[in-house]
Order: sequence, then structure tokens, then C-alpha cells
Amino acid sequence: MRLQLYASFFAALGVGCASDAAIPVPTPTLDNCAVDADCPSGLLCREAICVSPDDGLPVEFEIDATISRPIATGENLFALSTGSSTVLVIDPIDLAVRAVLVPREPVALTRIADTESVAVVSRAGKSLSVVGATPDALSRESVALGRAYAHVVVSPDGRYAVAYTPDGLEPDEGAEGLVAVVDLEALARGDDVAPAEVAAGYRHTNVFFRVERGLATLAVVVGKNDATIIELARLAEPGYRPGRIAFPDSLAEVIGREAVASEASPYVLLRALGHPGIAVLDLDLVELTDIPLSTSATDLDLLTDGSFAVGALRATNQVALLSLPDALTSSAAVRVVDVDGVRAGQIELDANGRRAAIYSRFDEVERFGLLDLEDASVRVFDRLEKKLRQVTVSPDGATAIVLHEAEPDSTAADPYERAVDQDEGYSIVDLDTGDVQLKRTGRIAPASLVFSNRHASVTLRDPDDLAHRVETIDLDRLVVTTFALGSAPEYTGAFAGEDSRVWVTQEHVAGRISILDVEAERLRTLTGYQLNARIEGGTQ
Amino acid sequence: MPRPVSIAVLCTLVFAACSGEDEALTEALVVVGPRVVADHLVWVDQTTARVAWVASDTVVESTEIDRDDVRSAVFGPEHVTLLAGGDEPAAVRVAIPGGEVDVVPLSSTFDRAFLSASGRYLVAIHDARFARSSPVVAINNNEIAIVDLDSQSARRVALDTESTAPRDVVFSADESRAAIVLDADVVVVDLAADGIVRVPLKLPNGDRLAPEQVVFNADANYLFLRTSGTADVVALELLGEGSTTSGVLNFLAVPGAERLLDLAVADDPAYVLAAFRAPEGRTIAARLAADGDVSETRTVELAGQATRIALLENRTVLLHGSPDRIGSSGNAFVGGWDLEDDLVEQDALAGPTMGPAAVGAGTAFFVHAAEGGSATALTALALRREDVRLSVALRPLVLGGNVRDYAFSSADERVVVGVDILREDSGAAPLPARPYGEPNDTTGALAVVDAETLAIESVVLDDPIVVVGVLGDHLYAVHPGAFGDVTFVPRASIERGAARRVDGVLLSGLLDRTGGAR
Repeated sequence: MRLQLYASFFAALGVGCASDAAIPVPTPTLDNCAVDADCPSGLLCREAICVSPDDGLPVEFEIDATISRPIATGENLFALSTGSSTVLVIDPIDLAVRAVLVPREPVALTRIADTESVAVVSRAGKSLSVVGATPDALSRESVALGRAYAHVVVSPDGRYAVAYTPDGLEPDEGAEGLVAVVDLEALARGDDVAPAEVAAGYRHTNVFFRVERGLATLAVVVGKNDATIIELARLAEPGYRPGRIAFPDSLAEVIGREAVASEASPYVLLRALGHPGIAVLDLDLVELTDIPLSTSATDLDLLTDGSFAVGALRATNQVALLSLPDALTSSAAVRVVDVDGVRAGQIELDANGRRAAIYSRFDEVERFGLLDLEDASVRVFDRLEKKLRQVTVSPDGATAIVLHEAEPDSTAADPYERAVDQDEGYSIVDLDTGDVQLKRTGRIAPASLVFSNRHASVTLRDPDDLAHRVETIDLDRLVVTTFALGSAPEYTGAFAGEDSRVWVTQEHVAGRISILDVEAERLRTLTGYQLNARIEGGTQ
Repeated sequence: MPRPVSIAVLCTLVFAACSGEDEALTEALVVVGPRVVADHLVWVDQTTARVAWVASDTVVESTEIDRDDVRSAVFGPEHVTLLAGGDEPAAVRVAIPGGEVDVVPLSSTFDRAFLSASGRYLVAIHDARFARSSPVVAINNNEIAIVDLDSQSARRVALDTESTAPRDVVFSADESRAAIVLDADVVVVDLAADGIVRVPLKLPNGDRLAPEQVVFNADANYLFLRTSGTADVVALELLGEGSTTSGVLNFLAVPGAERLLDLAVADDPAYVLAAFRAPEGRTIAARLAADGDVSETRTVELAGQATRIALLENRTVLLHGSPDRIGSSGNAFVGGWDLEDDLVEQDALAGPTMGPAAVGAGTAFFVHAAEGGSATALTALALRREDVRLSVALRPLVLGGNVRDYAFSSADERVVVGVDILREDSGAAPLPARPYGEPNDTTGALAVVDAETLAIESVVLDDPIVVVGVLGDHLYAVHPGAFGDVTFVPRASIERGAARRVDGVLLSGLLDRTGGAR
């Protein structure tokens, strides 16, 4: 399971990152190079495409389709209305909308864990707000940041928010690498809060937190050349400047690099295309340790508890299994396993960490493998009818959803098979029985995938603006039900817990969100919530 | 079907005989009517504040209201109400045929009045297009008056919108609410209570959604709007009452729809019917859940281009072209949709239509435009469910002239048509040159078509016809002219010998003679 999204990867695919999609991140291109120097570090230019020097294949960009923008808490949906500078609090039961005004141009929001509140960054308003909701009242506390930021993350304990500018966006006033840290507890108390502005290097790709005994102690800002480690308790000290750990040249490249971390461990793991190994940043020791491998990893995944990592080594068709923290000190804790029958370009761990899906977008055979992490055996699923684009394992590990890639130039002799090749689509794969069910989606590629209870939902965004829809998959019966959408879907997410409902935000000038009750097969759409904030009722 | 309002403004010499003065006065007559009130035809001349009425079997009666600034007149089931300005603005209600007058003072001079179907509630608005000289320099156009004509009370309501002025008022069927339609706002007011909901229709990007059509559902808890700037049906749910009155806006969309063309009340208050333009000249008909439950959406797609949608009494939906809607040149397309089983059928009329269909239980009548080049004047359309299909049965009728007006008599399912025919050899009385530019080589014929049998009865009248209608057990045909010339024909006896002509209704009491049968 992917714990942190990698902004540059999604940007490369034109997919918005978790909550900064209101400001599109420029898309780097890796397919129009002339010489090696045009490619990111670690890649070579071959036939105008940047490829890995290890196997001559293009970069494996990972797609995480479970991306969300509005925030589903236990009781409410929080959604941004950038144009009207409001945060909408939507009751998922009756779709009642309440609106809270925030400073101008709110562009990102993040849930504050275990609360019915969110942190919101307003770009033009150069501020951070905390918006809370109870059944009877809404609240807002704002603090001026002094600069415009485009993204915000909140520590797992809800005590700190870090506002920053994700890589690819221009920082305010050209001030590269600054972040603002806000004490949310003080803000909630109504104290006169001043954000702590911290210089943290250049081109930020990630911000992580170190949590000890339930309290966030460190914030780690991963930049192009280094990681800045902010001791949160020292922010109030006059003249405090956080320390940095410099990256070696092989890691100092944002395109094609990936960083993952777990709240439960003190490690940040990094891989890069020109780095033959996995680098581990130990936040307790404040040092960078390298775990050497025979080739660079093309994907990296980490268990939620941080105890185990898996790297895909496509060039050698192997996976590296790392037990943490032992892998830092003992090579015996690093196991490299040959993978037969599939190409090991990408890894997708299941939720309980027992199995991992292995596949490559550049495998010539329509297949993927399921690696048992205990005995290193690989079960190959090769009864797929179409080329792979992405494999996602359901949270319970019982089902895989395979998103396919259309092959418009298919040369299949059977005209029916050729038509199937030319279509977009996805397959539902029962990982126990191996049963496969294909769903063709015509010329429309699936845009997002989200799981809710024993269902999955796929959104389809029609470029001709005629047939936008969401398709729900009953993972037990492998049956798909289609719901038409009135306009193009944007973001999709599930409600918390065992709720089977999902929400889909859609393009609409007045704002549109749909709530799909998958089990009841009922789709309710609310449009114009930005206008609702201005409706006045009462007496004449 | 709505009756056309005839407003004639002309300069004429009116001798002040009744006032006893000798000199001639030149005044502009602003005539409204005739309209049917309490089985009488009623005309109002706003210039002289004169109301005149006549029934098929009575002499003309009239009364002059003691007001010199009548801005508007509206017609209810048993009264006509005039909106008067001047020093003492008021709504003046005249009972028909008794002539009793009630006066409800208003806070300001208003320009236009809208009356609920029962005649109980009147909403008065400012409208610069209808305004004449006003005694005050500045007027708050965002102020309306709600008048309860039964209790003789009026109250001022401040709309407080960003729009410049109201444009229209729509009442709910139960008359509990009225929607005040403005440039880019809608304000819903409770008529019997004091609740109000102000709905700005201004998008976050600054664009305004100008309302083009407003429809309440039967329960008056939803208001549906067709607006500029969106292909969605804008649905406003009305909640609470009194101080807790509020509204929730939603946009109901249909995938693939390019433009919303028409709205209609559905068979269930929780739904709305809508017609959309789809690519390549197709039409999407939809039944949409008012609460935004998309899983309840039902749509059918028709190959032709319709601009209107209407529910027939047999739970079938009629779609057709109409010349008064954007995107249509009065095209001949007709389609049917059976809501029970989603059966669809479509066809083409003989030519373009003159206007909206006259709709009956399962039958609709289309009157064809003369410029369509078709000999067919009238088409009766029936939508019938036949086992596993819906049939669209078209029965064209050829009339010997151009149709000038038509009406539907729901009591006996007959269509009344006024037709221009050549006077020569028609049986009509020969006439010298006619005033008002009407050609003297034509006259009018009143034709009545039975919806079921298509049997036609007709009678030639002595003048052309501009308006036809039903008045109790009589039909009426209004002839050209501002003073009110009309012929009554008994429905049971469509013949010249039974007809009664009344001329100069508005001159009754004004000149020293009354109108009478000719």
C-alpha cells in the first residue's frame, strides 16, 4: 500500500496530488529528449525517450488512483470552494451544506486526524485556517502566514501544520524552499499565533512527521538536495535553524525519485533511478544509510507499521525484501528474490503485508504476479485479455483491480480480440480463485479507483463530454453497475470505516459532488453548493 | 391554454360626451382584454380607467374607476383588478358582473401586477418597461407588494437582491408561494405566511444565470428553473417556514445534454420533466428526481429536434417543436414517451406549427403556420399505448383558410379555430373598406373540431377574427379593433342565425350609445 504519494510521479502523469490539485503542477516530459543531458539524472536518452540504463526501458510511473481532495471525516465531507473562498461542510446523509468563509483562494485542505476539522491553506489570502464542524456549529480560526503556500500537511497528532510549496510550483516572491509551521493547539486555544518560517532547501517533494509516544516530535522536509529535520519543540527558540542531511548526487534528483515513510517508525526510505540501492534516513540518529542493491529500484513500498519494505528491481527481475530496522545493520535482513513469470517493474503491497502484486507496464505479456512475502513464491495471473497499466489490491487483499491500457494499433487477427485490445477497460481478479472478469470501457480510460467495503468504484471521464460515469464493482460477485454522471469526474474517495458510500467531485462552475451508496445502488448529486452558501432564508 | 392578451395602443378621438364638455380630446387608449371573467368577456382601458364587460346574453355594462394612473390590469375568476398609481397607489378590484369595487391601498406606485389563479393573491412589481411618469424621482425596484384581495390587506416586501428589478412572478399551484423572477436572482415568498428565500444566481466566476423559465412542483416544495449559462435544471428545494424558511439549490444534469429547452411538471411532485438538445439535432427527454437522486433519472433519446415537453393525462409525455422557442423554427417533429414502460415513438407533422399544442387527455392539437406551405391547417395527435409499443397517431385536417387563433375546449374536447377566409361568396355581409388596416376582402370563420371524431362545424362571421375562445356554453370570436367587437356563438348551435354580435364594448357609457347586437 502506498503511504505517501510522490508528487513528481503524479505530476508526470497529469494526476493531481492529494490536496493540491487546485493548482496544477506542471507536467515534466520524458519523451522528447535529444541527448542524455536532457533526461533526469540516472536516465539515458534513446530514440527521444528517457530510459533506464539498467534495462533500456522507460520509467515505471506509478499511478495511485485512490486520490482524494474533499476530505471525508466520520461525520462530514469537507470540500473547498476556491472561487467563493469557502469551505463547504456537507452532511453525507441528507447532503445539507454549511459554508464557512475563509481567506481568499483556499487551495488545499487536510484532515486533522480524529477530529471533525480540517486545515486549509489560502493562497491569495496567505493564511492557514482550521475549520471545525459540530452538528450545531461551525468554527474557523485563521492565522496569517506572510507568504502564499499551495499545500498543507498536518502532523498525525493534530498539533502542527506545515504549509509548503510542492515541487513544480513557483514559490511566492521567488523565495525557494521556505515552509511555515503553525502550532494548531495554540490556534485552537485562541492564542495570538505566529507561524514559524523555516528555510528548508529547494524543491520540496515530501513532508513527513516523526511521532514518538503519540506526539509529533520532528517534521522532515524532503527537498531535491537534502532533507531538513525540524525539531518541533524548538521552533519557539529565537534563531532556531533546523539541521539538514545532504543527499548524495545519485539521490539529488526529484524526477523519478520516491520517498516513503511510516508514522510508526523513524525511517524515511528513498529510491532514485540513478541510485543502485535503497537509502534510509534515520530520523533518530539523523543520518543517511545506504542499503546497496545490484540495480536501482523502479518502485518502493512500505508497510504501514514501517517494519518491512519491498523494492522492485526491474533490470534483474527481482524484488528486494527489507526487514527494518535490521536491514540497516545486517545484510541478512535484506533478501533479494528472483521473480519468475512476470516483469518486476512495480510493487503493490496488500494491506496486511502478506502479499504483493508485481507487474510492469512494459511487460510484453498481459499478466501480473502475486508474491507471497513469507515463502517468496510467485503466483502468476496471466488470463488477462489486455495490456496492464496498473494493478491495485483491495484493502482486504482478496481482489485485484487491473486497469488496462488501450492498444489502438493492435494487430490481433481475431477481430473481436482486436476490438478488445483497442478498448480501454479494467479487470477484476479474485486472488484466491484466479477468476478474472473484464469490463471494457470503450474509448474512455478509467480515471480513478476507490475501494469502499466490499466494493470498488471506477470513474470514467469522457473527453467528448458525453458519457461521464462511475462504475461500481461488487467484489464478491464480480459484477459491475454503471451510474451516469452529469459532468466530468474530478476526485473520488470513500467514507471512513465500513461505510460503503463513495463521493465523486465533478467539474461544474458552481461546484458539484455526488454521493454514491454502492450497496443501495443510489447516486445523489449535489450541485451549486457554492451558490447555496449565498442563499438567505428567513422572514419577509 | 393561455389566452393571448390584446393590448392596443392607438390615438383616437374620444368625444367627451359623457363629461358634458364640447371639445374633442385626444387620448391614447391602452386596452387590455378581452379576458373571460365569471362567464363574461371583460375589457379594460387603462387610459380612462374603464372596465367593460358583456356576456353572451347580456347587454354591455361598464364602470369607470376613480383613478387617473392605471398601470396594469389582471383578470381573476370573478374579478378584474387594476393597479393604480398616483397620489394614492392602490389595487382596485372590480367584481364581475356586479361591478362592486374594493380598494386596497399600496405603499408605492407599482407598474405590473400578477394574479394567482384563484384571484386571491396579487403581486405588484416595479418594471421600467411598463413604467410611466412617476411622482417620485427614485424608486426601489427591489420592493414588491403582496396583496391578499380576499382579506383586503397588502404588505411591502423588500427583495434585497443584486438584480435591478423583477421580471416575472410565478405562483405555485396551491398558491402558498410565489417566485419573484429577477435578472439573476429568484426570491420565493410565502403568500399566507412571512417566509422568504433569496437565491442569488451568480456563479463563483461572476457569470449570472438569467432565469428563462420557472416552474413550481405540485407540492410547492421545489422550484425548477431553466436559466441561461447552464444545460442543467436548477432545482431549489424550499424548506421550513416563517423564520426558518430556507432553500437548497441543486443542478440536475443529464449526460450528453447540450442545452435545456423546456421544463414541465411531472406526474409525481418529486420529479420534473425536461427536454434537452443533444448533439446532431437529437432531443433528450428526461424525468429527473428533484432531490438529485441520479439513480432515479430516466431518459429517452429522440432523433428529432423538439423544443417543448408536456405531460398528457394518460401519463404519456409529448415532445414537439414550437416556433416561439430558441433553436426551433417551428419544426414539425413530434415524439411521445410512455412513462410506464419507457416506450418511445416519433413522427413528423405535415408542417411547422403556429404555437404550442392544445393538449387534452391523450390528444394534442397542432395548428400549422400558414407560411409552412402545407395545405394542412390542423393536426390531431393521439398517443396511445398498444401492447409493447407506443403509437403516435396523426390525423391532419385541411381548413379553407389561414388560422388566426385557436383554443381548446376541455369540457367537450373540441378545438376552436378562427380562420381567415375570402369574403366573396362566403355568406358574410358585404362591407365597405374597413378601418385599422384590415383588408376588406377577407372575413372570419369560426370552426369547431371534435377531438375524437374530427367532425367539423363552422360558421362564417362578418369580420375577420383575431381571438377565439370558450365562454360557458358559448364560443366567442373577437374582431379587429380597439373598442371591443365580438361575436358569440352557442356551442350547441354553430350557425349564423344563432350568433350574436356586440360592437364597441369599451364605448359603453363613454359615448351616448351602448353596444348592441347587429
